[in-house]
Amino acid sequence: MITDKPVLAHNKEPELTQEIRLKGAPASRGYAIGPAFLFKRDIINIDYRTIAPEEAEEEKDKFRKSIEQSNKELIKISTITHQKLGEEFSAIFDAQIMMLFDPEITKIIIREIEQSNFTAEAATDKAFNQQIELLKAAATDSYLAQRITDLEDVKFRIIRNLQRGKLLSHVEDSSVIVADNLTPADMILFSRQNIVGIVLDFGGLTSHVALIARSLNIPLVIGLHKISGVVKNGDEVIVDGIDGIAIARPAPNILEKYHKKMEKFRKFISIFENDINEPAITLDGKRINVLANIEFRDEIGDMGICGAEGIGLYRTEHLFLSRGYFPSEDHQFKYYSSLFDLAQAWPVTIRAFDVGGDKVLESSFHEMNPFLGWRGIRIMLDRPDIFKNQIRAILRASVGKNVKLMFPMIHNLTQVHQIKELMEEIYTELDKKDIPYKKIPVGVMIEVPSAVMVSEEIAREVAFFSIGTNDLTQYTLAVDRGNDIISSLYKELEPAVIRLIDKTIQSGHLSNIPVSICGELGSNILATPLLIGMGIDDISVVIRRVPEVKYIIKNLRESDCVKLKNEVLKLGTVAEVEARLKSWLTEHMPQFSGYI
Amino acid sequence: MIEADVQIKNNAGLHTRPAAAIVKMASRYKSEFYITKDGIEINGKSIIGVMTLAAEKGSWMKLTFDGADEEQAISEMKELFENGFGEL
Repeated sequence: MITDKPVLAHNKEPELTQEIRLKGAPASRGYAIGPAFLFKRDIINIDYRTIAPEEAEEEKDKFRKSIEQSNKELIKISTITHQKLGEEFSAIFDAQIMMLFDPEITKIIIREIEQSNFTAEAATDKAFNQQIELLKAAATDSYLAQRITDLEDVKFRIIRNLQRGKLLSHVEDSSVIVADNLTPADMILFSRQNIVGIVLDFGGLTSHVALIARSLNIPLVIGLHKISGVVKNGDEVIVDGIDGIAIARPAPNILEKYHKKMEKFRKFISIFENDINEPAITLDGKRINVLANIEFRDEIGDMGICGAEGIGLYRTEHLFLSRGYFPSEDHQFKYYSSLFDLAQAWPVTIRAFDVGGDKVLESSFHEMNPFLGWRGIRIMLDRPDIFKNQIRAILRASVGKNVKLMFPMIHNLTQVHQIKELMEEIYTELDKKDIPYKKIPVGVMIEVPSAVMVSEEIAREVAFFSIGTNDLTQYTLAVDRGNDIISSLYKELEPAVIRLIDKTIQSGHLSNIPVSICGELGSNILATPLLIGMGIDDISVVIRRVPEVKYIIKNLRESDCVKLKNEVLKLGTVAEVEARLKSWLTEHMPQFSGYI
Repeated sequence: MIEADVQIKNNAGLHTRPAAAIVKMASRYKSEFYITKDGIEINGKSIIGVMTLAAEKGSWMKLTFDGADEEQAISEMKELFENGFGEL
């Protein structure tokens, strides 16, 4: 007797031909229309048949080719990750490359193919599973557990390559990526394809996916809940990254409407390209330097195209993170010399190592609160050897160059005194050894609220301030932006944050030192007039935002901005601040209405 | 064949980063390389092998190199351990 089972699947089959419109949140501005590329991680079926002995050579050859291919992919992912996210993330992939070439695993795989008549993919599966079991037995903490995930990733990569199912080979040009969510690695690979937009079921506004999409100007809508379930490959999809809407299989009239919107938006952003290399001077004559935040030397090539006037923040962490140890002074000297050569006449503000303690300590010592822990200048002051190696290398490489140096995470005046003492020691040592160097301006980042409170005193001791708004926001509000439960509380326009920024700029100007901004707030165009009103001297942003920020500066008056600032500093809630900045910008620059 | 006893000196012990440093260095030499700890011998050129040792600060292990360049290999490897993998 056969029991009746509910046949839900048939009744609930979604209608996949009608227009579907979903509302999410805009995470990267712009519009896109293109065929959907549905991205789902494949479930891999492993071929466990027994091979004939004469097939062994072929299988071994397939295995070697797959390793080669996987190595190429991982090097590519590692390099791109390095460019987009920094070495902190790319180190994962470097460890995976070592696993790919692990001689013990290779030995087992070859043996299984030769002696047990396994296919290459079955041998790979078996060998990796064995190692995963070994590691599970040895894993006493989450650190090794993480390596198990890496091993699984490597295993699937090799097997996928054996099955020639190249993950991204079939992404058509001008596609819209439709997925439940993307990992940073997925995002990085897609960013190399000619995709026009992305729509996701999940994702956060401050996630890496969103950050990368914004820095590449790829429209992105997140939080669409079920888009990946209702779109087929090749369906036409509209990405509305202004209003946070995705429309699949649009009706002709909707499509036409969006083509018009796109055209209008294209015209809107093209105005930023006018006179891109002209300095950013307000209508009433105040010049603001618009600089680029750079993490990777290769980015310097794009500076001219975007009209950047120098490097406002050069991060050096990757020198450490790529190796896992701090490179020698000579190595650093060569690196900085070639960097400063590349930058030519552009001024460069280089930041001393800003590494988290977890990176230096490895895992056996877990900090309860890493963001309140051993990081930035705290490590440098505890480890004068690291400090001196880096600073000597920078000073030596700066001869004949336009370089400034800054230190991160300062939280009081004592640290500034300690830095100055160490600097003096370095000068004396270099003088004694007759090594050529240059005394360059030394500044500090202001990103901890306590440093703001004593910024008047600090300003008397340093050559410049650079405000790191991301950390300043996080520390002022006591909100960890990486914590999904509360990340919506992370608001860089909170009155408390902007008042601290204002105080920092005032303190700097009391001592006649320039004050720059290098956090994300610098590329938030709503905040640009406010920062000008507060008297900011330099704004440093990700390269692709330089044209827009320059355009805004060129089209406003400092005197109007001062009035705006006085008004906004009196507001008590972030909602009021945002509303006022929006209304001001639309009023003074109507061309932005609809886009902010 | 040449052997040496070494001790883990860095606070974090033999985690991924030091393990990677060991494998990287060992791979530059032609000699076979084994590490023995608590009676277990692993291939020192295998990242997984080295990680499974899960050696903590203060623990001792024996390094064995066997091959034409063993002398140079062992002195360099001993130095890496001596320096606590650059984490001291």
